[in-house]
Amino acid sequence: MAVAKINKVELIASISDKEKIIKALEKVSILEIQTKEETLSPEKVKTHIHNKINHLTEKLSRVNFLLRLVNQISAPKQSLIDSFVPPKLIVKKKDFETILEGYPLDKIYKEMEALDVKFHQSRHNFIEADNNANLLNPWKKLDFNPNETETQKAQIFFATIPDFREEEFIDVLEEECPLCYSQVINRANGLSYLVVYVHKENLDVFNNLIRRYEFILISLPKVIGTVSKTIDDLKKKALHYKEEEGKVINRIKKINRYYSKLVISRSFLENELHKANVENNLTHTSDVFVVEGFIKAADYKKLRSAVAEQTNKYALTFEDVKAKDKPPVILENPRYLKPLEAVTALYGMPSYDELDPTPYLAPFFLIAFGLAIGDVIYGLALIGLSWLLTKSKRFSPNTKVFLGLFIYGGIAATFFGVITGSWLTFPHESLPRALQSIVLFDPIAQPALFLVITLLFGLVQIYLGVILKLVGIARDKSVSKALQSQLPILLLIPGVAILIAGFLGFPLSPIVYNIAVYLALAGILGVIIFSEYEAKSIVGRIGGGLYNLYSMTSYLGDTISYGRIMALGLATFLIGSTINTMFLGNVLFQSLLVKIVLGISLVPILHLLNLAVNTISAFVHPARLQYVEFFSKFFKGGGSRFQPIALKTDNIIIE
Amino acid sequence: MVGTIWAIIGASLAIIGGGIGSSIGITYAARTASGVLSEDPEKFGRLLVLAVLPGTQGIYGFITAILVGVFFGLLGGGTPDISAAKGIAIFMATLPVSVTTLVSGIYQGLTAASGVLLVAKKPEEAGKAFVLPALVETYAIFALVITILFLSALR
Repeated sequence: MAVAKINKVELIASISDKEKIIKALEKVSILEIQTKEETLSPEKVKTHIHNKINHLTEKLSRVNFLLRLVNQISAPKQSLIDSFVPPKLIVKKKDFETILEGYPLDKIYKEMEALDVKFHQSRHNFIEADNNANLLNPWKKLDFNPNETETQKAQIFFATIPDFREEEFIDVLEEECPLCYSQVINRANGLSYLVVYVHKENLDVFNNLIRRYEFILISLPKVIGTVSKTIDDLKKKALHYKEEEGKVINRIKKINRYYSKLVISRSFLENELHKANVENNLTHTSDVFVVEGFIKAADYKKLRSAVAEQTNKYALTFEDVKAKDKPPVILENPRYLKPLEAVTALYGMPSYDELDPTPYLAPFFLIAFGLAIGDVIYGLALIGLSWLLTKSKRFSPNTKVFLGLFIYGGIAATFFGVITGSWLTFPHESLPRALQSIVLFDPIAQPALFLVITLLFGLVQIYLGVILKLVGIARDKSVSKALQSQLPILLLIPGVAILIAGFLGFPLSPIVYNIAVYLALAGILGVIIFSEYEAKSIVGRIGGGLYNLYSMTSYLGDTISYGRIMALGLATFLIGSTINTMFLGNVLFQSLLVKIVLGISLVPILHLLNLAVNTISAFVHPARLQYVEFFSKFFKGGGSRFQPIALKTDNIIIE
Repeated sequence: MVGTIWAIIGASLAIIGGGIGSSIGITYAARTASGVLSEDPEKFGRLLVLAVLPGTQGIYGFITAILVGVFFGLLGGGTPDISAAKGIAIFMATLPVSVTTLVSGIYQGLTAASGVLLVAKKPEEAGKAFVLPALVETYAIFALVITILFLSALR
């Protein structure tokens, strides 16, 4: 139940054994190799590794190019489930390692690269021809070639103007440009298409007019022969290019059959590249290489035998680490707590010398999750669905551990469903008497009680946070410092909480009231006098203490924040019961038959949607309560996660 | 009758506020998600979760409207007679939800859209991208807590 003990490792072995040793290290996956800014290695070794990296990078970029082409041009159809959780390819270890030998990657790449160029060319040509045809189309009635715009005495212009300005344009032209003549060729889509003949003496006048009235002149695409013939030609061309594009796509689609090989190659090359980069980070001499890294102290023997299996010429040393070495962090909890480690890891790892908050947040996270769903059938559904998903091959082992969180959450939800009488969100009155009798409280009838329960729950967790802080200071500094700084807070919280309860109308006996007053006073004085135990002057100490007292108001806000659990719990119930009332009650339909049909078709789907939406909230909000309200009391974090050299495969499973 | 009208206005505004907030919020997140998906369709599942996050505000508005309906008899047959004073009180009690959800839905959408970009660059950090928009939703939840308590007291 803590952060695992880490050792520093130094391994020296012969360069000739390097490849197999690194492969063995990858296989056991227990060593994190330290990366360095700069390494000392002979130029020859460096060049060799760089060449290897370049070679792998080039192969990987070819594979990525092909996969991108598949996705963009000829993507195989995906089912809805596939788009949520991409299926995993299953491959044998031997096939994985020899994947590049199984198909002519470079040949395919060259072929596809050429086809890709062709595809873009055809597409470009199609768009160009199609656009030009569309541009010329309104000018179909022109009986001369619009590219020949100059005669001996006149120049020809083309204008497209909104039809409501057509009259204005013609009037202005008549009044101000006597040697101009305009002709409307076409009217379509709210535009008028005009040809204007301008005598060269009037060119300046005309250009001024165009600028002043902001009319837009256009130039037409290249025309050979008449406009209408050119349009026909362009349309034919566009069709041709479209067909050509289709043919190219069909040829590109041929790579679809290499799709799984490409996905596996990507994974293989990424791992090889990662290893080559690791190699680049090692120190070499002309004969030996040095691996420096971190390992879980308990894995010491495993590492030794993994190396010994490969060679007998090696030197391996282990050394204890200190927090200042910034070792990576491994959380070590019993198996049943593993799913909850995900909640801690999501926030970030504790530092090496800190305590692992997982066991402390576990019950609180699960209770909050359970209250936010709070229904027996929903809880059971969550357990069942999560369990089914853990059986699926689509998920990595890590994801399966994470799914355990939802199984636990489902159990908690079932429990709270029983004690709040929520069975598929049906109203209490409709439940059998036996189920009604085990109900402890009804959230709908007593929302205020529900709120108080969630706030008390929050108060308990915050209190635990302060206790953990006390333990932490006692361990790192001294018991006396821990008591000085945290004990007053531990007195103050219950004192003030009881007084607030009394203020809000909760009946308090005089004894309890007196005890609460004394606790609160002792807490306040304690915080003022003792909490700044490191201050040098008495003024600093009291001033700091007063400030600490003021910052304790944040505890009130933190507690209230737990009230969200009540709103989330009620939300799940109310939406569910609305589904029931609308489709199973008498609001929309009276016929029993209709209700039965809906009851087995639509209603379960709607309840599943309600469960899905509220499961997101029931995860996200309790997680926030841990991070913002709980962790802020004692947890620093900032450790880096242990990342051993290991085979990493996102989309494939290696058998 | 005047009271009934006030109660209906309150319920309707809660639905309208939450609905507007959520639809704008989801638009922000979904629009950014579409951009990412054009490059990387495999992230659909994770991005969908981010895109629906701002949908909860609409749900809170819906819950408020349903509560008004259930508590004050607007959902059964016939129109209940609620006094003017009580109707106005119901209307006021729904205001926290109708106003806060409108604003928080929009801003949660903006935060979720940034989360989408975080997932695009670092898919392994998806968890953090889910938690940050939840910080914005806090205030809509508080509003819902108060509205539920007030409505339950007025019942």
